[in-house]
Amino acid sequence: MQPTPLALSIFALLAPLTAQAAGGAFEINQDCVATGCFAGDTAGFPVTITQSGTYVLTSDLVVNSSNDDAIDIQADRVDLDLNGHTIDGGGTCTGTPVTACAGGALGGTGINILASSSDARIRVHDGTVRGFGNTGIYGGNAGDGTVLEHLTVAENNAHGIYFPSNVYSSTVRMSDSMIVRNMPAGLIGLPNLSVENCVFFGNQSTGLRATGESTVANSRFEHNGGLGVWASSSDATALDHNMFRHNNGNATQWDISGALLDMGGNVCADHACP
Amino acid sequence: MLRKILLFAAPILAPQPGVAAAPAIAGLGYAADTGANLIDANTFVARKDFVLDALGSGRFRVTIPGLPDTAILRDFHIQNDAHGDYLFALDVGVTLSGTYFAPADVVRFNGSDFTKEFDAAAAGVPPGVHCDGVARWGDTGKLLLSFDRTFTVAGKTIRPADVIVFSGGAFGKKLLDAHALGLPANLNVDAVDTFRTKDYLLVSFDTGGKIAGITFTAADILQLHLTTGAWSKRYTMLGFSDRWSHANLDGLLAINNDTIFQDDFE
Repeated sequence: MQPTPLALSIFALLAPLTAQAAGGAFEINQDCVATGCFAGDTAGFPVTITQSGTYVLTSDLVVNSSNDDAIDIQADRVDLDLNGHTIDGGGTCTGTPVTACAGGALGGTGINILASSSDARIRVHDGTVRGFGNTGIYGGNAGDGTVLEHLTVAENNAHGIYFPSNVYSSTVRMSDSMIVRNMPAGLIGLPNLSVENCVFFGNQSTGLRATGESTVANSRFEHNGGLGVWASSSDATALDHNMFRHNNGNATQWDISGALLDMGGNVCADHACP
Repeated sequence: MLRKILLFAAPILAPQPGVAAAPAIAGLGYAADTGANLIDANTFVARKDFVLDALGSGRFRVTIPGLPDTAILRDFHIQNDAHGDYLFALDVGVTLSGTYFAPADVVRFNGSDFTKEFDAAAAGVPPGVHCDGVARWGDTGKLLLSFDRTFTVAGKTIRPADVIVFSGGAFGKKLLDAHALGLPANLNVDAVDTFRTKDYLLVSFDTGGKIAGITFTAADILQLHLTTGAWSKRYTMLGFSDRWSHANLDGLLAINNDTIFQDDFE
């Protein structure tokens, strides 16, 4: 039997019931956005992830609409590999530290984690999120154990990364990333943060604001308009081998409201460390 | 479906210089490792799909039913027989109709059932090796395969740029012997076809490179004359769509004019 278009269309309805994937990644790219990239995703932005699994960008994503998110994650246990690509909201920021941001997706968020259970372990890695009028990465419902790594988050207008306090995300790890020239803060994390090998540079206000019991290690805080690190709760914060330079108008480089666990090796280049 | 497209095939894109002796090609099938608008500016082709291109008379997306959205079609072939079955390999293991197919297997789809055309484990292909080239030698000839890693089976070393016959349950002659031809060791054939001849191979590699003075990209289609060992560039896919600037051609099928007359007018 020669597979005809009619036959193919009929089989397309039946055959998926018998298929089981043993691996592989769902693809996201600018071309598939126009039609929906996979089941559960409708045409246009945001790309909506509704099932667990591995997702990979195979092109940059440019969000043209002024109010759309780029990617909404509505499923648990998602690995989002940006694969070296950029999710671009189109905006730009001026000044170092940033004084203003304009243009682009004014109301949109780059990656919006909207998963809805304590099993929402989300991993986002290996790419750039920039130029969004809202937050670059919003971890609203990120679960315990969420990981961000090998990212550049830059020139976003409502914080580079923001993890609000909620019932799901009690620990978040961020490593090997650049949080650069966002407005106002580089990263605000209300859960317990583990930040390692990151650079916070040129953000309008605070480089890193943490309110949980956090560990900040081997990171660099430079030219942020406010404090390099601001731990604003009564929880303890550990600082280990970090570099602080030209933050807060060369005044106090960090402010730890709770107990400071100074693990040693912290250096303040132009102002005595607190 | 393929027959229908070929009947409409009229204008034929001019081949690259230096391939005048080879049969004209009336229809191409191709797949990419990146989902992209390969049909036109607005028609998306996923990584598990392929395109049938009548070379000036229309392009059609073909979705093999039942494949998961996470699969990438590594290469495919359409049997030139009464059934027109599809043969293909995937980048991931998948269970179809209750049968598990490993990434080194070749799957046959007859319009309703999936069966194993090439059982990699039974043939001695070690785990971790993936099949990335599937074709027939000649019109309905022996199975031709290519793999993504070097391995040895029954004393025969098969390299990523080799194209080898599989027949009677064993690997046979190499139609493309990468080592003997002095191809760079880093090259990997990831798409192959004979356009239903016994004399020519069409191949694409998973990276750009240079062979016999011919510089090519991962999306270009090269032709090898099996008798003389002469290489030429048969198609530059960037001329088909600008999306090929970022996509790697990893599935290939070609139909020559002689076959059309043989099929439809004799």
